[in-house]
Amino acid sequence: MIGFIQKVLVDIIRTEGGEEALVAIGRKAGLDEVPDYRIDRDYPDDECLRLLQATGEYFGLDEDALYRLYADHFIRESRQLFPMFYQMAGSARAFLERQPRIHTVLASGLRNEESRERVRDKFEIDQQGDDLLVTYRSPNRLCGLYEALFNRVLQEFGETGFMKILDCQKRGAEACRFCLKVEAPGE
Amino acid sequence: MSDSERRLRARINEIADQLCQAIDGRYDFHLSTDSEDLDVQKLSVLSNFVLESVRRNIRELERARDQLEEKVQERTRRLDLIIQGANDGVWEWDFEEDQLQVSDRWLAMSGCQELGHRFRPSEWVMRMHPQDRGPFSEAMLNHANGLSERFSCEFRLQDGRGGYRWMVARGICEMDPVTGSPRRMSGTQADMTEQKFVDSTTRLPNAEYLDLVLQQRLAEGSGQVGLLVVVFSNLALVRDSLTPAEERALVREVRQRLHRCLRPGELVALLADNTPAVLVHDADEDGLRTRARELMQQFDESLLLNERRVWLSLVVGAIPGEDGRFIGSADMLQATRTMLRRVRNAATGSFLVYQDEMRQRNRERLDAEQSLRSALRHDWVEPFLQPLVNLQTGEVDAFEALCRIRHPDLGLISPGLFIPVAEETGLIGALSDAMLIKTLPLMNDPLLTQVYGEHFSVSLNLSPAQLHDPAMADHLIRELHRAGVDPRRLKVEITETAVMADASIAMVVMKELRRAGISVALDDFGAGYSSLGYLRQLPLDQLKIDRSLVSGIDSDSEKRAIMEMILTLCERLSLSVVVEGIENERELSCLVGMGAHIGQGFLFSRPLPRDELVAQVPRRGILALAGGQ
Repeated sequence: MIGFIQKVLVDIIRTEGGEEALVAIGRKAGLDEVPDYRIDRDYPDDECLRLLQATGEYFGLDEDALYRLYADHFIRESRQLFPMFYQMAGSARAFLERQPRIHTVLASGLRNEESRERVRDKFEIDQQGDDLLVTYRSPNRLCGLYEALFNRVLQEFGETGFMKILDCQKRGAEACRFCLKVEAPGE
Repeated sequence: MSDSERRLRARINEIADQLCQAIDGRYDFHLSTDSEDLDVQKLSVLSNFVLESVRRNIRELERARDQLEEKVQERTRRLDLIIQGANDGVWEWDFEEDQLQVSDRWLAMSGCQELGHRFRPSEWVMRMHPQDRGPFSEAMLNHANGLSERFSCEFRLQDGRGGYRWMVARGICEMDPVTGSPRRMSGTQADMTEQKFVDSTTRLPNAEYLDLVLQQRLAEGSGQVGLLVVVFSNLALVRDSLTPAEERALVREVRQRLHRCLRPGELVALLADNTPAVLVHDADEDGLRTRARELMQQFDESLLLNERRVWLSLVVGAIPGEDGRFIGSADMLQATRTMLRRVRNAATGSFLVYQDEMRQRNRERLDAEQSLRSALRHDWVEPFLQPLVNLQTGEVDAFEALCRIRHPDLGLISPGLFIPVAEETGLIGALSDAMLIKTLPLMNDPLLTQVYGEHFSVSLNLSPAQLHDPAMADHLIRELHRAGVDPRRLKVEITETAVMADASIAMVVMKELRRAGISVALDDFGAGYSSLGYLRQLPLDQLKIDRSLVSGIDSDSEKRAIMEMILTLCERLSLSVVVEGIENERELSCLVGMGAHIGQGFLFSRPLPRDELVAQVPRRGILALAGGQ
């Protein structure tokens, strides 16, 4: 998993609980020392998942609340780091359409071709009429996080919409498939 | 500059230095930085993204190129297969470079491998037949100017071996998208020689091809051109008895035997009427005679047709082309046609050589035929009457109606010119009919009846075709009735040859005529192989002795002996005798002395039109006028 994910999580932990929380969560996640995550490196997926789980437990947050918190930080930090992505999009729909490519941009930083491929293959997006059909394929099964991020993107662009889960890996599907409906203001 | 700024610049330069690798067109590297600075990491990530995108685009372009190449190769393979299957040559004319690019097949079919695959288009055009170059250029220009949707042109192309192939070229222009002017034209060339130049039945080159090759050989001016025409005189008869398979075998066998006589550069082809002709290098009479002998020897042995053997009888005619005798192929082929007419009438096994006089005679014959056809159409046929004189009394009471054509421009045309033509062309029937229609009214003509009485008779010549027409007697009787003429006043003259052609039918017709009261005379007796035996068998009323027995009879004892024998025989058979061709007093005196009863000839009168006859020939006393008595 690209280090930017963990970096945002570490920033959340520091913001919410300071260094002390970070150390505690790190230990809870089985890390002697929480690394200084780089956005151009790949880190083990399970490490990130353990950190996420430990964070929720540490702050007493259920999965939805943790993801909402994470999504909020993620959008703010990514907007700060890559403002052009947001400016170029101009709308939630345009941003969501670019999301797999943005994901790929971040994967480009990885040295290993196989790692890049793995990250790149996670998201596919197709237009179906006014809807966007998203296929998410990852053993991490962070579809809940995707939904939180979707809602936060709508909020970021001042738009409304909803996400319908068509298939879910957690329910045994080979991949998660979401149908995104976005309503621009005034629609 | 602070240390942190210096470090930052160093990191940025580190990334920039790595990017320099792209200057060689290489994008397969990965940027890395050890910087803890997030912005430097971001720069690294985005740079890697750009590199990754370039790599991906290149990969996609390469994949697209590979797919395209594969498609092109596949299409090329298929196109090659189609072209190979069609057996066509491919050409591409580059207008800007003025170069023609052609395929192997094109070169092979055009017989000009020495040119190579790329040469100036004029080389192509100059190999075409001169008459085809103009239409070719015109068709090309029309297409290049947008007047035709596609270029297509048929032409004859030299095959590099002294012959021609018939080609069809098709193509399409590629226009310059900016100027709209034609840049190049691409197309195919197909060989349609088989369809155009080869006779489908005999597999021999046709008359058009012979004409073409002849044109070229004569134009070369070597003088080494001769033609042998081969007429199989019994071919029609042989064919009648063959099965289709045997007929095919016959055609194949004849072709092979003719081909055996050929030397390099020579040709067997068909004339327009499908008569085989052999184009040889021998141009003089002696050379052609030798070649004709070789050719005839090929048919000395019978032809084996599946399980059957047949012999072909042939006549060969030679047309020597030595010394620039013919100005072109049309001239030589016309001579060939003239020759053919002779060859067809020649005896089996004959060898005939073309003479220039034949053409003159042929032309006269043609003129005569045209005049004859015009005469029949425009009613220029006119009966002239020649009197038959009673040599005992000097009275004229009968005439022979002889056919003349009075041409409005040429005047009177000699029957010696048009009668043979009429017989040859089959117009003799129509001519005889016209004569009948014009002659019968003369028998009741007031002027003639006033001078010669109401009972004079007229004889008409019956053609062989009429004699063998079972309806002839009825037709004559009907016409006599229509003209109001007593049948007893009409006499028909037939020749022995005509009777012999089909004696049984002729006998029936003759008997019917006689039954109706029409007299029958045997004309020209003594001119050929006359048989006295027939005189007894044939239903005759009169015998007309040919002028060949009369001419010089006064000084020829053999003729006199024959004449006396005929006269005696006819008297015994109760046949009246007319002696034709009496031209002088000595002959007349001799014949009268021998007891001849009726005479006819220039001594008394030439055949004359009615008015002149009446003016010149009295009913009585003509012997005195002739000086005979």
